Amino acid sequence: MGKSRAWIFGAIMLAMLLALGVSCAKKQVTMETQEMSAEEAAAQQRAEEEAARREAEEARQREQRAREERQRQEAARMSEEASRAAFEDEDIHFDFDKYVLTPQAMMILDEKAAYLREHSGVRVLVEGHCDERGSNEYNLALGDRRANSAKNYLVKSGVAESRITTISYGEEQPLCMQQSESCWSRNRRGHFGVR
Amino acid sequence: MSYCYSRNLRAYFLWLSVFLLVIFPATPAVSRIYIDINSPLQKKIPIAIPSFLNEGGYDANQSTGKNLAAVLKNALSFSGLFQGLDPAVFLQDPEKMGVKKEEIKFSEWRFLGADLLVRGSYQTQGEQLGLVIRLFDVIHQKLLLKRIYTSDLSAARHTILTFADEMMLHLTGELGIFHTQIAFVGNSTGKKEIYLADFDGSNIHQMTRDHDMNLSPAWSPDGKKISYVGYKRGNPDLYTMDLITKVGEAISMRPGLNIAPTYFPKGGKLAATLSFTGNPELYLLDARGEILKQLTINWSIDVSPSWSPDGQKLAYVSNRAGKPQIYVLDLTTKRSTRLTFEGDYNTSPAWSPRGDRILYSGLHDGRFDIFMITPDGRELRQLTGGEGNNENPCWSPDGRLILFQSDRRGTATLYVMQANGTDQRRLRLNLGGSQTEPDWSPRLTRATP
Repeated sequence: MGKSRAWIFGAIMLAMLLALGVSCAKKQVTMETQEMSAEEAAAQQRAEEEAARREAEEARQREQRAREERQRQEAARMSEEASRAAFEDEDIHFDFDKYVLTPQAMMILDEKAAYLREHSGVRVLVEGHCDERGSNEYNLALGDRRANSAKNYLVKSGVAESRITTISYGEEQPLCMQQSESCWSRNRRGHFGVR
Repeated sequence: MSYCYSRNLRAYFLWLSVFLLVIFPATPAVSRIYIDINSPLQKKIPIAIPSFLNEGGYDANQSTGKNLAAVLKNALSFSGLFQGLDPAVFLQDPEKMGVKKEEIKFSEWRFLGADLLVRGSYQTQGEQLGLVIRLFDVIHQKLLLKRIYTSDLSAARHTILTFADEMMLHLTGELGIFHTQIAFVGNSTGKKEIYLADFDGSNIHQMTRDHDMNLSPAWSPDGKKISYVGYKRGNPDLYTMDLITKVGEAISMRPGLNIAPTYFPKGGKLAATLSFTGNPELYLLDARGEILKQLTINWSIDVSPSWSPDGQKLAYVSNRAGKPQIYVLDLTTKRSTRLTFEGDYNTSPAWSPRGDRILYSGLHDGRFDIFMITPDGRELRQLTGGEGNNENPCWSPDGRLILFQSDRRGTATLYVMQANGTDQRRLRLNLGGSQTEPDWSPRLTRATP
């Protein structure tokens, strides 16, 4: 019995030692593993942060580029609209009872011709108008000649005749109703509309 | 033998007429010309038109007789030849006054200054109206004209105007203008549309309803159609409207201008300005708008044609000398001669129905006024002046009155004057906005639309 007790004791001790050794070894292994993953995590985190930063930066740049592109397009559209608006808003003017083009009218028509050359799909309606003085019928004829003066100038400037239509409104559509030269001179006009 | 009813000259002409009667006791049909409208001294004839006598029938508001007399007085006054006396000064109660020559107290009418007296009586039966109207020469105490009419009560105005026309025929040798209409452009709806009204501005009808611009109405010589310029298809095109159906049909839709229509005096054809070549030229078109002939060829504006009554000549506006002036084209020789040399801006010629005068509108001291000249360029006369812009003149079919537009009281509206420029008065048009570009119809036989 003493012998077997000693064996059992020895076995237990061995087992305990073994268990201890194993547990020690295990503990060491575990600690090593924990130490590595912390480093990795930090690196990974740095990498992730770096990537996120890069991504953010790229997104920001993309956004910036998109914004710039939008602005560019907007600006282009604005300038397109502005040039179209300028084309339609700027009338040419005539002297009383005249349909010859003034030097200023020719300068404006040069701009209109340039616009029409750049926008080959655009068709234009040229309106001839007169001031209220004189007969309605004579003014219809005068407005017709005014519209044709402008049309002929555009054709000579390289705009296809088929793109230009004319109409005379004579004295029937004044912009301004007072009986004064400043008002009459505004009414004696060629107006241009994009069709 | 002509009687002139000038007050100043009455005694002289009475004496002369007695003298002529002695010399030429049997004068032909012209003897009934009481009014020589060519006399420059002619004054208005004082005429008394008492309330018509009710000789039977029910008169609901007791005003029929007064209204009938008023319609006649207004029409005769409009002609410019008569001065209707104020009924307030009449010495006799119209209800107690007879209608026959022997019942008329001529001395009393003469005392009031009347040269002529119209005495009418009426009867009504249901919706029927019977009228007996007599015209007396107060001075000679003579019955000049007696007419009997029956009509619907609703057509009373028409019947009275028929008497006025017959009275004019009797006194002047020519029918009056009491069955005529005027066409004009009005913008009371906000858009320029074509309107018709009776000669005196009453009875207004809007003819176009395009909600777009319509201009330059021109009567056909038979009074059944008007041609005009319409923008409803986005271009100044020529339209002709049948006044019964009131449908406007496009007759010329060429590119550019299709404007300023004027009918050939004998009908069927019209002159107009087209600019499909790039320059406004005059053309002769048939009623469907087909080109029969090009009338002008040059690089200036040619517009606003007006035919001589015989259709041999055409007055029109051209700026071939730099400024708009009136020219006359002889259709036989095909030659144009310049008519106007006074002023820098003369437009809107209107050849008189008698052929002896051309009206036009000219810029003078910064304003437009109506001028009159003979077709060979003599006897230039200014008819309006000092009151706004006066433009677009046209003649009554008898050549006695001139209708035109004036902005003398602000917005342009229509005025009438005698052919010598006197008696300018605003046409009574019950319409807002402006009224422009009038054209007077020929005498009409049909009822108003």
